[in-house]
Amino acid sequence: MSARGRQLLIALGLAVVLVGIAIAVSLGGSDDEPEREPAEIGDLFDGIPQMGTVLGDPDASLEVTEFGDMQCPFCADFAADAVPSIVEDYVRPGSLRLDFAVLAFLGPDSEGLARLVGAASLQDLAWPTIELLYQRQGAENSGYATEHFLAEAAADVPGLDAERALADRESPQVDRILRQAATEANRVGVSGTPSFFHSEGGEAPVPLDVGSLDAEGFADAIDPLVGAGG
Amino acid sequence: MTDARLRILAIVLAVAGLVVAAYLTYVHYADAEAVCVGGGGACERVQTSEYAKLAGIPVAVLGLTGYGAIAVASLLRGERAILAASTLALGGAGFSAYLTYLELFVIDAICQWCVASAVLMTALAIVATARLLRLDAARGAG
Repeated sequence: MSARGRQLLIALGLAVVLVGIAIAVSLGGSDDEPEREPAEIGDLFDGIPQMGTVLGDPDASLEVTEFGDMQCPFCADFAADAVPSIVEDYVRPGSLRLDFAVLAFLGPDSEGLARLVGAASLQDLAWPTIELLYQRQGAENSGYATEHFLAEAAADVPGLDAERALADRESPQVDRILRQAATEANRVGVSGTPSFFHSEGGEAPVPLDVGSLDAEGFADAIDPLVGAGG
Repeated sequence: MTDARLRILAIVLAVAGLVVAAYLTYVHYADAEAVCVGGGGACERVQTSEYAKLAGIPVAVLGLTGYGAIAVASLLRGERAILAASTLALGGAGFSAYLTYLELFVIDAICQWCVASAVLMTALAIVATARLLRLDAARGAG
């Protein structure tokens, strides 16, 4: 073999090895967040009142509504990086109530995921379902939310009657939950997800400007309101 | 085309690639929306997909490193530098092809900046391979 052929072969061989390693790492997925066990998700919300899509003390003076699409990667970041701290620091002590308005605008997978959240809310278990689905979020519109994926997720949500939840997904109640969330998003002018609004004592919701989608960013936005609301 | 001209072409392409990768790195860290014809929604979808990072490192940063290394290798003289530039450019082109496949068939969104980078990297691979294939001729002439 000529020298030029040998050189080309070496370059090609090394390039193939480089690409192979890169693709293998890429397909291996992200290791940014270690996956929490379903039981840990159950513990996070254990003992906190849940009603429909609302989490927290019904008498809390401040309510924050999150508008989210279950395929939205920023929403998943918020669920992983901020929600556990918010639950422990504000919701569990009773100073804040969280509501989740589930939207389905990013694509076909969003609809199936949103319907499972809606169905779980009929059992007052929307929040652990939301956390688990965000934790297992796949690539946007990759078709990852298959029937098998949803059934497995429903079975893993602590306390959820999975069979009933899967059956309830097409119920009129779930239709209404999704329709109400979409209507409310239009009414308050949601332009992207996640979007946050706060309201006190039944007043009209006001946009909550969260500087960053982590616990610190949320705390900076919410602390003055919690102080003001008592 | 002489090796000197191919070398200059490789440097120009690598610098152009560096600019594209630097912009995508800025977009990533500034959490900004990429400027694209018809809006940056597709770029945002690609940049926020689970494939936007490799082992926790943003792909834009890997591109920046890759183009930088190819530029340095193209600036240097000698067979080893040409071999290194070819290996990196061929590897980069292969990985760009994989990323383009993901955009088309998995993420279902095309980022114009990523396409520009893929075109530049493919051109770099062609130029770098041409330089490698000319080594014998250069030797023969020398």
